Formats: sequence, C-alpha cells, structure tokens
Amino acid sequence: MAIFKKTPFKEGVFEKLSISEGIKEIVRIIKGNAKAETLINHLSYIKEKAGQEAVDKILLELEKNGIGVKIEELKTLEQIPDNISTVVVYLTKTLLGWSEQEIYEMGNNAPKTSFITKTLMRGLFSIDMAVKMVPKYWRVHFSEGSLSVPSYDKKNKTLILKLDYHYPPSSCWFVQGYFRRAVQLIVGSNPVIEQTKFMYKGDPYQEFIIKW
Amino acid sequence: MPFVKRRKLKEQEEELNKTREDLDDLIFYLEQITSFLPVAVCIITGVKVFLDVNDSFEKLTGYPSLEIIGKPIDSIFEEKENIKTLINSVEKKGDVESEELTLLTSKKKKIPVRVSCGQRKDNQQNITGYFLTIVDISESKEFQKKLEETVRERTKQLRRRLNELEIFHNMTVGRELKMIELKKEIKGLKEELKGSKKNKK
Repeated sequence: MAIFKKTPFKEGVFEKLSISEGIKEIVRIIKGNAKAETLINHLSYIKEKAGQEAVDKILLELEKNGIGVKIEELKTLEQIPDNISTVVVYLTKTLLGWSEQEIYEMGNNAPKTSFITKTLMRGLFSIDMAVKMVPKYWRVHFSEGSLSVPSYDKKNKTLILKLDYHYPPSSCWFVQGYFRRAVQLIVGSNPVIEQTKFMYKGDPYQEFIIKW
Repeated sequence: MPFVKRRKLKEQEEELNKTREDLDDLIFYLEQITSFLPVAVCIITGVKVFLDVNDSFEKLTGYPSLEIIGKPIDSIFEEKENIKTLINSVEKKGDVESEELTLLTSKKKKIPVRVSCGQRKDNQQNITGYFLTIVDISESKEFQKKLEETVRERTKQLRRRLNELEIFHNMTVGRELKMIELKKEIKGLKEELKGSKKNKK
C-alpha cells in the first residue's frame, strides 16, 4: 500500500520510516532506468571515502531488501533500475550516517568520475550551448523524468533548472552538489546553487537557482 | 502486437544491447590506453579548468583526479601567466605549441616540465577545449646542467693550458730571438777580428 498518496517521499513522513520501509518506497516510486555507471561511481566514491567495509555494508543491506547487485559484473552503459542508485544515496545517510554536507560532496564529485558526464562535457564549449543541451543530457542518463532550463539570464549569470523527477530528501543534497559541479565545469568559476522547489514538500517539480 | 512487429522490436533491442556492449568495450579500451600512457595527459575545458586527467598525471602531480578536476589550469604551474599565454596562442593559431614551465606538485615540489597544448574540436570545428601533455624534464635539465658544468670546467682548464703555452711560447721565442741576436753579434765580432788580423799583416 502506498504510504504517500499525493506527495511521494513527503517530508516529515518519509524520514520516520524504517530503512527497509524507506527502500521499499524508493523502489515503488522510482520506476525508470539509469546507466549503471551512476551506481558504480556512487559505490566507488563511498569506497574511497569510507572504505570497502562501508560498501559491503550497503551491498548487504540491498541484498537483505531483495536488491541483488553484482558490482563487478556491471557495465558502464548498462541500463539498471534508477531506484538502486537512489537507494544507495539513501543508505549512505541512514545506514552510514553521512551528513548532508558529505552527501552534497558526493554529488559534487560525481561529475568528475562519470565517463558519460565527461564525454558530454567535452562537447560543450559555452554555457549557452549547455543550456540548450540540458534536456538531452538528462535523457542520456535517465529514462524517466525531465530536466529543462525555464530561465537563463546570461548578463546576470543566473539560470533556473526545472527537474520533474521524484527523489527522497536524502538525494536532495546529492542533486544540488551534482548540478553545482556540472555548471562549474562549464563556466569555470564557482557557482552557488539553491533549491527553491521541492517535490517532497508538495511542489509540482524540483527547482534550482544557480548563480556564478 | 503482431508477430512481425514483435520480432522486429526484439531484433532492435538485441542490436541496441550489442551496441551498448561494444561501447562498454570501447570505454574499457580507452581507459586502459590512457592509464598505460607514460606521459601525463589532461583534458581542459573551454574555460580552462581540468575536465579529465590520466594515471600518469596523478602520479606526476600528486593530485588525485577527484581533487584536480574542476580546478583552473594555472593552479598547478608556477608561471601562471605563461600557461594562459600558451593556451591563448594555441586558441588563435591552432597549432600544437610547447613551453617549458615549472610544475607545482601537491606537496609543493617544483618540477621543470615541458607542456604541450593542442586544441580539442567538435565535429563542427568549434573549439571545445584543449589537450595538454606534461613531460617531466628534470632529468634532462639535470643532464644539461652537468654538461654545462663540464664544458665550463673544460674551458677553464683549456684557458689555463693556453696561458701556460703562451708563457712557454714567449719564453722560447724570446730565447730564439736572443740566440739570433747573439749569433749576429758573434758573426760581427768574428768579422771584426778577421779585419784587425788583416790590418796587422
């Protein structure tokens, strides 16, 4: 039975679930596929920061909840359910006890290790071009949801990102870190990101304002 | 769904999976090649920040890729202006250009390096960034330094020998001249003697 009828991952409710219940909800709500690279990079980052033990802990928890992952058999471009990588981010917070800042850093570092992101970035030579490429960029990674740029102010170096994709509060910091780094690689300077709309708070989409 | 359409869909899916597998093999192949390369290679974005580095780069600079990606290119060189000038020149001229610079490692060690830079373009010839190779030339610099020292030492020795030779030359030539002079004097005296003998007779 669905816990969240109108607002998936509703803030204040989702956090009260047990880890197993939380995983079940993520699996139930997130239905699309993503490249296995996302998961591979999450686990390799966790290994780098917290060691193999932390990775084993997460893999064991996944297995306990019916998500069997053979990490050594995964291939970068293979399509796997996106909910697995979202569950992994969720577990870094709930099981490993990582802080919001640590999860933000995980997202901030993700574009640095992603072959797909770096390949896409190689083709981008200006922020103007990147703004046009954003929807395609999302589709390369994920089969569900959409990402667009409803507002772009070149003069004031500001853009608004609109993401139509549900994720739990644990992924919020990861996504902010990820977008911040992606923009930083394109503009060179250090941007500031702020999430202004949250689907888990009842907004119709996720919204981010990025300034550089 | 009609059988023919189903079969076609299945064939397309198989083809897609095969393409994905081929791409995965290609990624693996590229990763192996870049990690094997004994030269530090990095990819720089159009706004001159690091986008990708290989294993040799990490080894030479001491910076792990996670730390260096996203940082500006001049952060690892002592001559901040020179690296920017090099890239600007490559951007304008389009040729691969090189320059000797000083690399600052993560442990603040200074290493003389030769940096070569070339443009990266997309299929529409837009410049999307730069390729950079960094070669450690500290050994050849050291060799050059030793060679210059040896040449300097040899030149000094030669100059010393030359001075000695000059002294010797001056001495021997002086002696020779003196002997000629003496011979002349003897000859004159002999003639004088001969003349006085004749007069006596």
